[in-house]
Amino acid sequence: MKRDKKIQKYSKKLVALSLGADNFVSEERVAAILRVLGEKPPLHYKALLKAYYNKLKVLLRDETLRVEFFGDLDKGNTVQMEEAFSRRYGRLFKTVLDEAPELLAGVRIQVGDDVWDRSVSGRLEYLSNEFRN
Amino acid sequence: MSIESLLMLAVSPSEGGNTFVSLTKQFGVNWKLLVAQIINFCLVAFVLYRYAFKPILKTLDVRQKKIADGLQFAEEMEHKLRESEKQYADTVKQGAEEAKQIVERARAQAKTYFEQQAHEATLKAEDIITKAEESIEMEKQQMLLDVRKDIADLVITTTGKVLAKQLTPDEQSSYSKSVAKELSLN
Repeated sequence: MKRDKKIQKYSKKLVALSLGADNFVSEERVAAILRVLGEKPPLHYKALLKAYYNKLKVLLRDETLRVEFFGDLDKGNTVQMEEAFSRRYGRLFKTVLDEAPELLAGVRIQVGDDVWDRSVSGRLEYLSNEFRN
Repeated sequence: MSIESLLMLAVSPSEGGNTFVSLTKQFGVNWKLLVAQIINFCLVAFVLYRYAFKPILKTLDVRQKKIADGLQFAEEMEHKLRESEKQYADTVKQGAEEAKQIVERARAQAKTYFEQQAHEATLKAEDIITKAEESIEMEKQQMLLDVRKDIADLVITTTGKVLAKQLTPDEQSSYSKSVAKELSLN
């Protein structure tokens, strides 16, 4: 129990060190931290790495605006959406664009556990659920 | 001459004594022999009375008593027999009445039991019918739901396939842009 608390505290500090100047996770900083940890492995090395990995994963998911779409989108559209969601959540996002043909048309946005589905397949899925119930 | 006149002659004091004597002589009475015969008779009578008549009379009395006892016993037996017959008749009558009552009671109970069973059977049958109807209704609803789901799946799948083929790239882009604009406004 005491050991877990120490590991959690340590991993939290490592995550804080992983943030760059723009307050996003910096790939270089993460690589440097991993290198140092590899050279001088601390006590409970594996457990620490696992906790660090989980926290980074959550952080990356929370700071990423994942936009799935099918059909061309303008640069202006993505910027506008990014600004809108930054205003909504009160923090900046890194936008990741993914072309998804299974959407048929439209956009699906994911932030952390929240999903906004405005795709044709999403609408059809919604209709299907309405019919089922 | 009668006996009374002879005796009058015997007791008369005058010439009566002579008459009596002459009469006795005429009849040939020997006083000694007569007295001896009288004594002899008395002895025989006493012996007969003592050893013959008395036991016979006693035996007769005993037998008579036995006969009387027997008759009384027979009467008592007859009386008892009549009472027994009467009691038997009463018992038979009572038994018949009780049997009749038991049969009537059994009939009434059988009737009640039959009615109760019939009522329970009716209730059970109604319950079974109700459950069957509910089950049929549930199955019907489930079937309708399944059909509805299948039709919905079919319609959605078909619509998706048709849209995938029919939507042009321009239409897809236009739709995506309008959606992006909508999301930006929210």
